Amino acid sequence: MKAPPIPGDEPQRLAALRRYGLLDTPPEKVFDDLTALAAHVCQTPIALISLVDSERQWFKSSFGPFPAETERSCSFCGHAVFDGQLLVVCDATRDERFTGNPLVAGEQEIRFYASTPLVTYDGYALGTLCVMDRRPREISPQQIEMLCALGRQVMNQMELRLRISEQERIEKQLAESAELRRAILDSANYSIISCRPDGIIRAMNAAAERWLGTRNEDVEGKQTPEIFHDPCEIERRSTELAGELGRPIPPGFSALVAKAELGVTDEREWTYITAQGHRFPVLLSTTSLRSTTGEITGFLFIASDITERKEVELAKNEFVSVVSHELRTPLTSIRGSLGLIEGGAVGEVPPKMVRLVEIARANTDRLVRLINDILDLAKIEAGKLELQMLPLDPAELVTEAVAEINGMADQFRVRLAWHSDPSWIDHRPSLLGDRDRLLQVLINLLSNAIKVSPPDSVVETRVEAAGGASVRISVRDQGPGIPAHELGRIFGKFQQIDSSDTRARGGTGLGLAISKAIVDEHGGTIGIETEEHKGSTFWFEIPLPRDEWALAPDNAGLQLWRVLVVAGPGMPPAVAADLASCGFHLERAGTLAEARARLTEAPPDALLLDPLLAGARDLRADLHRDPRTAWLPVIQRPADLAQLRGALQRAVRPPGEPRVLLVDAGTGARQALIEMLRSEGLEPMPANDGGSALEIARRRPPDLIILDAELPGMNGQALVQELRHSRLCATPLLVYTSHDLSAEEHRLLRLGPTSFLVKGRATERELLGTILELLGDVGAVR
Amino acid sequence: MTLRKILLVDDEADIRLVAEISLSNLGGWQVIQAASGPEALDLAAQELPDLVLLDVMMPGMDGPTALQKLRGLAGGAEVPVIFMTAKVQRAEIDRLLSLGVRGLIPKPFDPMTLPAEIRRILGA
Repeated sequence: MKAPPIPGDEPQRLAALRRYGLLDTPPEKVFDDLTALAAHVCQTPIALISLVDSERQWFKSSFGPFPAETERSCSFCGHAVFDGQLLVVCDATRDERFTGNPLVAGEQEIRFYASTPLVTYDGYALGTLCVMDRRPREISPQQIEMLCALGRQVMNQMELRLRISEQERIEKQLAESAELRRAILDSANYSIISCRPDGIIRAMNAAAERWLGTRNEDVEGKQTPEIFHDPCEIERRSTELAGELGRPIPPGFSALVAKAELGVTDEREWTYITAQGHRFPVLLSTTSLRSTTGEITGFLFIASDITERKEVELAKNEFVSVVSHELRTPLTSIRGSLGLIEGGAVGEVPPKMVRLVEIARANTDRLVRLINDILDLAKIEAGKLELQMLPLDPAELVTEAVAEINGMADQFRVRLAWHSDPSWIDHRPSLLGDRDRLLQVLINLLSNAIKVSPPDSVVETRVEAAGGASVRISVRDQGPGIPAHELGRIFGKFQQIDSSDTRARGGTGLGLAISKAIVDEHGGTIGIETEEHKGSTFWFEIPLPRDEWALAPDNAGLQLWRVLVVAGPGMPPAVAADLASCGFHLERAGTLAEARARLTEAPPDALLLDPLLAGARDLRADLHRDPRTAWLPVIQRPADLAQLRGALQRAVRPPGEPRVLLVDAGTGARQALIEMLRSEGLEPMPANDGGSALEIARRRPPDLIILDAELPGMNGQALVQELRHSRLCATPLLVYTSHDLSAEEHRLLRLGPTSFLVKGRATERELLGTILELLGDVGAVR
Repeated sequence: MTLRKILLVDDEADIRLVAEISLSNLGGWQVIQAASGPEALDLAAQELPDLVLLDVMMPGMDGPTALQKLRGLAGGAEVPVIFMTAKVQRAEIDRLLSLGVRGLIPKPFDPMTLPAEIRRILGA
């Protein structure tokens, strides 16, 4: 006798067998029916479903008397399992594999055996469906075919059960996890509301029901979470979002999820209103739920009640505010008295005493700064730093900061230099930020830099694009640098490189902590690069609003008027900033030679000449003679800024009648307006859309723009935004629309002097009056 | 209108003294003083000043209330008023400036530059 060999993948085969969970289970009708059929078809007294276990074969079903199991070593089926094929033994006594086999030699006296293997979907033979007889015999091909078909049925039954039990297991697991989730959700101290993509509520947890005084069945499938909100807050938020995202957001459910739709978790404070009308503050985080393909399948609103926190905050704020006031009041008397003595306002003071009073006064000032900084920090820590976000020009920010700190730089004998990104001549990006707060950061960095600078060194400020999506402002000093081990804590509170620094330099040690908080609050980053004994560069980056990402100067031809300032003293930054806001970009030539070179390389739009400069007269004469520069307006430097502004504006204006750029969709009312302008001696330049308006303005700069905000294509707001960065940024604008504009539109639709009129409401007289008023001097010369 | 007479209103006598020295010695102005809102209103009713320097936080009647009542006096609607305050939170400053005053001087102020500061505010 030969024992059946063991298949190579026996452990996996046994695992597959266990998977079906049939071993040692009671007989079942479905399997018994199949063995009965097999016996009948094959005309045998015995038919079995045999499962081959590691040491035995066990019969799930037996037709005809047969033991419940036998040893594997003497099994026929073991051979069939090893081969994985149909096995037919017509006379076991003549087959050497089975001679001496107890099933053949013993009381069973098996002679005939035929089986079809039971093969799983993944290819393991678990056992067989077999038929046996006690006498030698043949089996017909039809019978084999039927036996195989029945074997497949056995396997199908087994697979079916497996699937059903798997299903049951999953369902049970799901039910358990749903139960667990429900329990977690209901015990959580958060109000959790889940919604469909259209906003309709799917479910609320117990806390939401309790806090909002409503029941799931009242809102589920019917309402959106908007019903728990204050409509005014939603309206405010939608205006805010429209500004931020550059598209209108309807004040409703969209305003709640506009941010979450972009894939970010939106966390902010809101007021929830219960069904009974009670209001309470919440910190609400909104998340979009997405399918594997990224489609939004719903929204989740998770809110925590922050009533208590708000009260603590309020109390703390109140405390800080009162303390700061109470400290300031006595300081006012101290500071004032010292100031009067020091300044000699109450009589002569001996020099030694002056020195002492000066010390007292300087330290009082420091105390005041400390109080200011602590107040700032307290506000920041309470999350109460309210930023007033407005569009602002980063280069202007720098000039303003430099102008403000100039006095201090003089005191320390430090020179200030600043540059803005050279690619910004045509289009300077507009930041969205809090002007005062960013100025505070910049002044703080500048004053730190000045304090550490050796005399006669330079502190250099740069403002430039950082990777297209943000603006970077950096301040570089030539001070001692900061040792590496100090870098980690430099943005912490009360940090100075060494404590002697504080007293010597009059700082509070809070400046950088405050700066970091302000920059963080703007969504930006602040950092430092330093090299010991060489100097440090402190920088911060503020992200640009989305519509400023591409800094491409697509308004070529409308870049700021270039004014070459020849020699003489440099322009104060405030003057440069003022002129930039009127459309003029100043470039300085230090010497006459440099001026001549510049004039031929890249002729400016105007020349500003210091008349006292030696050789100025010759330069003028030369310019006049050269046909390339004969047209160049040359302005002698006037005494004051207003005169300078006026002179420049007159110099660059092409001659002719006052030009009015008329931008509207070309409706019937336009013709009447054109007639009216003509009859007043003005030149109308009609444009049907923003694009052609820019094109016309490029060729002939208008003296006034009349704009209907409703335009096809590029809308009125976009056009105005475009013009704000151009040489036309100070051009008077009349917004003439058919409906009342919102406050936001009023804010966005401003250029130079701007007026608003509503069509049909303003009389022709009013319209003309406004036009002439806006044209001002230009209108008067006609 | 030339500036001659200033009504200085503050409940702190020390601060009044410092401001008075500055305004009269350095500014060359005539200074009349009041230690409270009602006192200030009495004085203003008698002799209308060219400018009121008005403290914000005073016991009893505070600065904004005094301002409102001043505006109700005969001729009081046009008197320029400058607030002086030790409250420097921006929201508070914005609120004060919206009440119809010419400007605001934060405390502590520098008495040596106070007259110049006043001229700057009134000139603007």
